[in-house]
Amino acid sequence: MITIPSVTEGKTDAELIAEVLKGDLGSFEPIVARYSPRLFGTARRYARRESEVEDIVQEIWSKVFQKLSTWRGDAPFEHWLMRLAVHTCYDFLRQHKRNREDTLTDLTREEEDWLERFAADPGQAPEDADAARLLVARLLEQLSPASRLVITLLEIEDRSVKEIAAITGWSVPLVKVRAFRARAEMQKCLRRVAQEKYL
Amino acid sequence: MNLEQLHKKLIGAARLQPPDTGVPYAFEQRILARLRRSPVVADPWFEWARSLWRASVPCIAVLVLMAGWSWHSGGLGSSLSHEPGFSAEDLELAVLDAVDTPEGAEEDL
Repeated sequence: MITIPSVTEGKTDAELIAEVLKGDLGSFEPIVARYSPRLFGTARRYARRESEVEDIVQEIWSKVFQKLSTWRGDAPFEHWLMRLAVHTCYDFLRQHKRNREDTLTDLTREEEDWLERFAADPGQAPEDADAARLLVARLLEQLSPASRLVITLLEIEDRSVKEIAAITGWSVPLVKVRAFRARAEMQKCLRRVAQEKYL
Repeated sequence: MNLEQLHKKLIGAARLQPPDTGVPYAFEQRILARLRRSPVVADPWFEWARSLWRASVPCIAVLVLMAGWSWHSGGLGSSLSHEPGFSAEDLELAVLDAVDTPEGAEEDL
């Protein structure tokens, strides 16, 4: 029997989850409201189209609901949730790896301008430019799923190797090996851009 | 072009501009409606693992009980073997009595 209580504000994650596990689906809504911004931010790192982002976050919440009873409460719910979110994003990347388009050849005018400014004087190419953001998004799309995940977590989100190991379930040496390969892959992509434009 | 520097610059750009955290309108309601529509289907592997995990507690209890009982009866046995007139050799003789043929019995046959 599903009931929706009127007062859910101010309750902790553990209290809300206990209520959901007792059959009160309404208590799931404040959890969704609390963590959806973070999940959308994470999903937008791995998917560009807004419909894909929404699908990923919906998939995460479905998994959370299905596996809620496995959360033991000895670690913050947010950590458990983010682990599930990263796994879902990784699954998405693996499912869509064949759909990757070779987008390094058709750079926009702004991206080419940014690269030319960088080639002339690296200090003159601003990091906060939209062109730089789009260029890095293109480059990340060229990477393998594991490399993209590692570069995002290690270099963009600035997480430690141990944290990445905990999130992904990979061993620390495996994370280091994948980080090494990911940097090499990234260098290869950058070399392609540089060769096509300046050689 | 310095590729290492370009790599750092682009990663710096990605750090400076984190993705939007905006949530579509009424997203929570849509999630709840979706969950209400689709009943919770338990993961069979998870249920199987949970059953095994639960079964491990009585299994360990039985193991401890059996180990205790075995140790206790083993202790009785060993004390029996120290009694006068009962030795390991006596036990061996009793067990092998049926298969042992007396010397010369084969010749009689």
